[in-house]
Amino acid sequence: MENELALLNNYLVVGAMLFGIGVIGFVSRRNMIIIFLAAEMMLQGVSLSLVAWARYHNDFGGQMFVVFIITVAACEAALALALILMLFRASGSLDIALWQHLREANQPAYVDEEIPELEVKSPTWPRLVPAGRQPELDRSDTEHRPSV
Amino acid sequence: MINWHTCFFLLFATITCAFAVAVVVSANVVRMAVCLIASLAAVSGLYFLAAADFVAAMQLMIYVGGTLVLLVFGVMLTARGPFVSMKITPANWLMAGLAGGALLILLLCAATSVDAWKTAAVAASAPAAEGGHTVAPIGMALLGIRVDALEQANPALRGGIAGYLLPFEIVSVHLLVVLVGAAHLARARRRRRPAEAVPDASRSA
Repeated sequence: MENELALLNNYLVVGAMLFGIGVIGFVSRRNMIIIFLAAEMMLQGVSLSLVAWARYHNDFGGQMFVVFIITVAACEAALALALILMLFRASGSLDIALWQHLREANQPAYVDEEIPELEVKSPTWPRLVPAGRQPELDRSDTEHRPSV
Repeated sequence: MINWHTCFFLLFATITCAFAVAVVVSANVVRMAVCLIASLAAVSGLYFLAAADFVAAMQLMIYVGGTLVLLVFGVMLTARGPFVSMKITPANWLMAGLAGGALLILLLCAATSVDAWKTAAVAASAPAAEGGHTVAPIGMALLGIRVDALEQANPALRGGIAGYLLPFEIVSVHLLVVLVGAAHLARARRRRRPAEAVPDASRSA
């Protein structure tokens, strides 16, 4: 068959693309659900290569592997989403950086971009004395409240 | 004369890779899930082209129908206000692109380096799986019988060709245990203390 493109190495190229894009997403993103999506994509890349090998060798052993991969991926999806839900309930966010105290002991902490803290100057309130007594005035009060 | 096999391969491969890139680049979680649905559906099209019809149907049903619905439920259960996107610095993209890109280049070089792989299939000696009727052989193999290997000429090899009954049972029990465990983990439990401690390591570090 001439002009054929659906060859083994082209299937492998598509599988490698899926796997590589999945690795990039897995490493770069911070949302736990997105990391899980990228892992699913890497599994798909491997499955596509296995199916291509099965076709190349005319043997459906590769397809059997893919059947088992899909089953284990379904298990992984259920467990991963349960864990994500649990972590979300504990921390209130899907950000993976909130769990960085699980890192190795000698690794530096990942510091988010610092948000400058708002400096709230507490205003000077007048001090009240119990009723019926002459308020004692000190100098700062008289400076601050010239009307008194 | 148009080779439809090639046309559909190009179509599905393009859809797969384009939506995979969209999954990684997109900022919205729901949009990412929809892109992943499109990408996985195109992968199942590639499975159909590779004469793996049972696997392709399984992919459509389990991934596109099941896993991603579960995923969208996860997104909705954890939604808080408008879907917040975590900030990724360009340095993060650079590091991830370097690491993943190096691996990608390595894999692409490996996939295109062998000349013998530039054929669709080896010479069809046992055309059992050809033509895309793989449901019956896969079902029999899960029961422990390899129908394509029954007429193995070499009797020394015949004993080594077993089916997949034991892995099938193991994966069944595994699925059961994992689903029970996931339901146990994700159950809504009563809160004992009014305010739980929030680990806020990134702010305090």
